[in-house]
Amino acid sequence: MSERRARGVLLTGGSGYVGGLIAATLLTNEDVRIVAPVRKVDRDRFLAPVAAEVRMAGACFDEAMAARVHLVEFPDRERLDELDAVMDEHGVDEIIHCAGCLDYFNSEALEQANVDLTSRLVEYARRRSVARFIYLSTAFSVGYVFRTIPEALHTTPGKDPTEYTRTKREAEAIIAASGVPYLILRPAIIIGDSRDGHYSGKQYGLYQLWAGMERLLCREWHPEVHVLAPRQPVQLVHQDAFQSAFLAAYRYLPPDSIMNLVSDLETLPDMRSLWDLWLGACLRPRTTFYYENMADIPLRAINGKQRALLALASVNLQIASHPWRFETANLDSLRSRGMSFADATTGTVARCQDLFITESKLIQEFLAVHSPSFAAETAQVVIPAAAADVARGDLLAAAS
Amino acid sequence: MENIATLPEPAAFPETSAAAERDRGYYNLLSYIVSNAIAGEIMAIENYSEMVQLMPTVEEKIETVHQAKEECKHILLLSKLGHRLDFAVQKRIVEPQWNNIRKHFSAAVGKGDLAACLITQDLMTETMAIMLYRTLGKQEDTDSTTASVATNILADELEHLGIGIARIKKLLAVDADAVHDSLVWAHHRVMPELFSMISTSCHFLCDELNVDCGSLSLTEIRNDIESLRVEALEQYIDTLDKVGFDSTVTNALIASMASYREMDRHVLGLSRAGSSESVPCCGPGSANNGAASHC
Repeated sequence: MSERRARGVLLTGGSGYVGGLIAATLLTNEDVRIVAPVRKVDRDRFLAPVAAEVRMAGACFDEAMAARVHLVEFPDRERLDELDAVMDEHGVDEIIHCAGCLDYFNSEALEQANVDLTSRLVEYARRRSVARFIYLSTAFSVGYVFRTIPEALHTTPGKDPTEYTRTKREAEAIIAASGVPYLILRPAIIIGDSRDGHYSGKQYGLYQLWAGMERLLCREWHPEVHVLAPRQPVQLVHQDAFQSAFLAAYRYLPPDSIMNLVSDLETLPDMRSLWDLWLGACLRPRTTFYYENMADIPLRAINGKQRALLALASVNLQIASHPWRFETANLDSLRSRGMSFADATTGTVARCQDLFITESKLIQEFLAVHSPSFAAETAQVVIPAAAADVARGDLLAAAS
Repeated sequence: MENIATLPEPAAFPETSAAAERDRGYYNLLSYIVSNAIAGEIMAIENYSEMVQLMPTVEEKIETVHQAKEECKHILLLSKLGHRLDFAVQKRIVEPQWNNIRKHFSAAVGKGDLAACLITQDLMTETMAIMLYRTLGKQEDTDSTTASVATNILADELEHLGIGIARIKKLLAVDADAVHDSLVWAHHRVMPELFSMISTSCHFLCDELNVDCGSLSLTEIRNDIESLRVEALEQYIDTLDKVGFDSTVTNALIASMASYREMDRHVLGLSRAGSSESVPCCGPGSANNGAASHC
């Protein structure tokens, strides 16, 4: 009797943060072999973060597990057929497509990576009659809309925050029209682990904001701070929740499903809580000015570093400030089947922030020098939306 | 007409014991910074010269030629500084970013986009030059000779920035949309190149200067790359604000800078997790490869 052979999965983007989380999840929980096309074959570099996540999950990353990962050079987009041999060799019948471009401002790269590559890959999947094509999209692929976002293709999108969301939406549509059975996952902003805060991704989303505050605000104490902080829940999802939801969706969702992978609206912190969390830990100004709209902030009158921070993070701050509302039927059904899913809360985000602060040499040095200057109490001034210039000027004058 | 070759010796070279006391690492750093500054000045001469044809009035053409001449003077001053303090100076463009900016500038000239030219040369490049000369001008961190030369040049660069701001303001008043389009065009081409040069790792310059790239340290001038980048960013934003550009446009442009490789905290070693990453230097694949996309 021949030994049962683990089935093969082609995983693109496996050397990235999200792809690495998926690789760790599959290796730990599924009897699969992963074929990962990468731009540069460097086995140690690829496996290190995957092994770390496997171990974090309490499993053992041993040689047998490592042997279930096969790296192959990513062929040119025009020559995906070059993957045929390795696909056959490993019995690949599923493609998980995580590779993409996140550079909001590089239209050409976004088009190539998110639309063109996806289009070619799904066509390749169709030619090979793969059983399923799984695509990692984004919760925000619909653009700015003021309605509940369904777990369906976006037929009436809103204005796109960036070209990124447009290209992800286009990719979703291409996949859905291909005839290949699909699963589209739309995660919100992924942050560190809810249990210990660890995070191995790049400085995207909330981490971009924290990194900006680290480098710009943690140089001198700021008695006044001006922030964009509407009372909107910020759609964050912990990486461990993402992994649970991915696995459950992978196992149980029927073909041609789309899942909004988001935290419960009721538990999420809002922008003001996130600022308070940071300012309480790292700055404690005498006065904090909270604005509902970026346009209301007197950018040319505020401290230069704060102005730089608000500009650097402006796109993500505006995305985070939008009132996103999502249908969560698929997530709810997976929860009802016993999936554990750690919704993001102010407390769990604080865990991630604490680790970020602890690991930052720059912040630690700043705190050592400047924490004696911190205000015992912070006055909070809320600038309501569309406040008149005069009113805003009065508030600023009164506060100063 | 002033003969550049026989410019009077500036009152910038007093004998200094402080300079003599500095170690070789300091002069290697100066060699690197000053050579790169000279390359920027060479590019500026070429840019201003090429831009003359686009200037609308004779007065402005003359003013632009004058600006080019001042950049010539800066090259001579910087070269003499190297001679005086006995460090090597490279008087040609080595780092590819300068040539890339030149190429974009020529493209702007080719399409008759005066606003893009002014923004590229007078705002973006001058802003970086100001940051550089301000840094070198701090006598307590450098030495009196270097500080004096840098302060002299800084005054000219500030004047150039002022001229540029005034010129762009005039253009804005005529056609704000077109000037904002020019800003967006220039920003995405020029700023990644300029920012990638705020670094002590290079493509080829250290090799040319016979300097050990890995030995260069800004602590020699009581500074660090991260502080310089923050300063450059602030200076750039301040300049954009002074011109009066629409902040919804400029905010998006600044936000795009978050994706520059040089803005990555792991690359900078701000976090423990990233501090062990080695940054290769000199030659293809070195740290300075422009704005890396996060694909």
